[in-house]
Amino acid sequence: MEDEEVDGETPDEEITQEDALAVISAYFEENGLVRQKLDSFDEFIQNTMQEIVDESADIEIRPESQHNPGHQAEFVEAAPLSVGTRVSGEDVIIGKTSPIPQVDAQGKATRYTKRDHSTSLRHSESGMVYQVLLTTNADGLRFVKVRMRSVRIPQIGITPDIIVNPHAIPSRMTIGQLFECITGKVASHMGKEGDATLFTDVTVDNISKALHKCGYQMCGFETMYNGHTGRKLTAMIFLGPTYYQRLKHMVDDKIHSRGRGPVHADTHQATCRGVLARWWKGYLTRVMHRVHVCEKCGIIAIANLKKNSFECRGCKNKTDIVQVHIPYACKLPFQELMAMAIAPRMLTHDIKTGKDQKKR
Amino acid sequence: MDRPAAGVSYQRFPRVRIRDLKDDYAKFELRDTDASMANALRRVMIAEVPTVAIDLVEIEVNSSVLNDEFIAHRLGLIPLTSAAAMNMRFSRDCDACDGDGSCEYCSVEFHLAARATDSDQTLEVTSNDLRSTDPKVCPVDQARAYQHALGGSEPYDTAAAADQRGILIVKLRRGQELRLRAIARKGIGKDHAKWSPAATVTFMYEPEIRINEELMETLTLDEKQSLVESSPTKVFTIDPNTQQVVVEDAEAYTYDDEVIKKAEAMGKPGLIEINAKEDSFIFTVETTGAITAYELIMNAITVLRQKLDAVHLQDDDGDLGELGAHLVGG
Repeated sequence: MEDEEVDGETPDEEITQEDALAVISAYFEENGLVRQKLDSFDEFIQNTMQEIVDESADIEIRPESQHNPGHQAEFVEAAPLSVGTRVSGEDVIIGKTSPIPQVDAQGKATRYTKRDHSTSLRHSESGMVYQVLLTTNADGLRFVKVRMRSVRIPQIGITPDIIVNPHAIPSRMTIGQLFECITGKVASHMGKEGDATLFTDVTVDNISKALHKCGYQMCGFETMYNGHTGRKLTAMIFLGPTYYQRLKHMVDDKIHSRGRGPVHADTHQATCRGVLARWWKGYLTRVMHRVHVCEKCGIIAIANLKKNSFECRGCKNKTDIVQVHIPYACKLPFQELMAMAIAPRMLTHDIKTGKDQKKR
Repeated sequence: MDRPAAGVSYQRFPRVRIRDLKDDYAKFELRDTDASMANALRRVMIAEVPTVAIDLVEIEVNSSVLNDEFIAHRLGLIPLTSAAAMNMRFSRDCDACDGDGSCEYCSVEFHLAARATDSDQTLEVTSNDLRSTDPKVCPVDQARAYQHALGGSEPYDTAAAADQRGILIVKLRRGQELRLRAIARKGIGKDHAKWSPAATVTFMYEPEIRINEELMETLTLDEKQSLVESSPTKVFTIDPNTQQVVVEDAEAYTYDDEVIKKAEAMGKPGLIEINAKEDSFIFTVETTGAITAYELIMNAITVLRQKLDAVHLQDDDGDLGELGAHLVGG
């Protein structure tokens, strides 16, 4: 923005800490202490030149919440995704379709000609469209890039950014983190730099003494109070500043619990994200599975429905077999147990009292 | 459910002693009550005392480097003088304007127009550029400057008054322009932090420090010295005349247990005992300037009383529902 103002700086001039501070404070002066987050979504659209010529206007960029995924996206004419549009939830950021081969393996003509391949916002996020870029690269691939911006709403009070699970020490070998944390506390109090690596003479004892001088408890513990009740907590808590990098994979982005929809063939569990969009309408809430169980031993028997023959090899039993409906998620661990030589028995008789059992 | 015998009263009579009272700062003691009361007061001060803050922004022109919602957000965080907030209406239950926040009972309109014209200097758009339609509600530093100009008693230190440049909203480069209309409404900190009148509200339990003089006599002067120094804050000191360990400032104690641990390490457990008094609290209150610290405390009590009245009314109906079990059964 202020390009012309770059002054002739000698390249060998060292960058000092003051320079870094100036840059940082300039940043905060301009942006305030508010986090502004930028996310970008990009999508290559693979098309040969011929296809581009054949079917132009294939990409439509707009936020759409009501569109029906899985359906061939026959977009109604709408305003393209414009800068400054508020988007949230699972809105479609980049609408895109890809052609389905017209003739599939069985030779049947498919019902739809195109499949929805839209990019949507992660469900935990919201914001506004900051920039939209539409271009073509050297290979003739059309390319869309959308940048999102979001402002964080300030909250009353202070909450910790991260809480370390005590189980992580020492097994995850992050003792250095504790060193760093307590050194950080001292350093931020004295306004000095600290080095918490093992390559210096600094010991925990030294750091503790310095912290004590700053008016804190030696080990970095602090007495805390419950904000709801105002009562003191019985345990003191280790607090301090820590440098950390945010994980790209966060739990919030990964929760995709659902009761129905497409499932894996071998585990009958939900398939990974993305497929989520292709819900099966009317899919049963619980997938039930039919098994045949030997009445004598209670273990799943061999059943051949075509020949109408049933057999429990262990009991040499071909007659006392019953059909049972259990959830697939129940059948699976049963078979896993059997593979571990544990017999899960399904007792199909009515539960009889002690007297009845004696008679038998 | 065993109710307490009729006539038994658990009413207590809390006492307040004000130690320090300035416009935006107060320190007082609250005694003869419970942590629940003290904490309720603290929480109400932070999150439920109403103030006025910019809530709706209509941007006409914005060619600055910051985007619209960012500027709207910054405007919202500017503290406005809110002495009248207690008597204003929440725009959601205002009859005069059907809650759209455009009447004198529930809203105040602001205008801002700034354009960096000539010169190479960047133009700083601050809260001083906001023009209010209601003289009662304006950015706090404007109000302060006004008071200063009137020659009224200056409650703040004059050094700060000399440096009155307002709160920076955005910096404009030559040719950039910002023009907007904003509506300020009444609200509480629970809904958004911008409505919180409190900068800091804390209370501490008054510590009760007992030194076992008999045991203390068994210590040498060096041991006493190291004991005094074991506390990270200056709680204890050695009397230069009698060479005895005495409490210098009990309230400096941060419940860090360091002295107690030190005494144990010296093989003298019970040398010093420190307990938090259950019924006396020392409050520190600082405000954003939207209302004075005195108003904040008094309004908090009013709000708290209103909330208790709601419970009382339910009690009169005789049916407390689930709440009854909590109140009586304990």
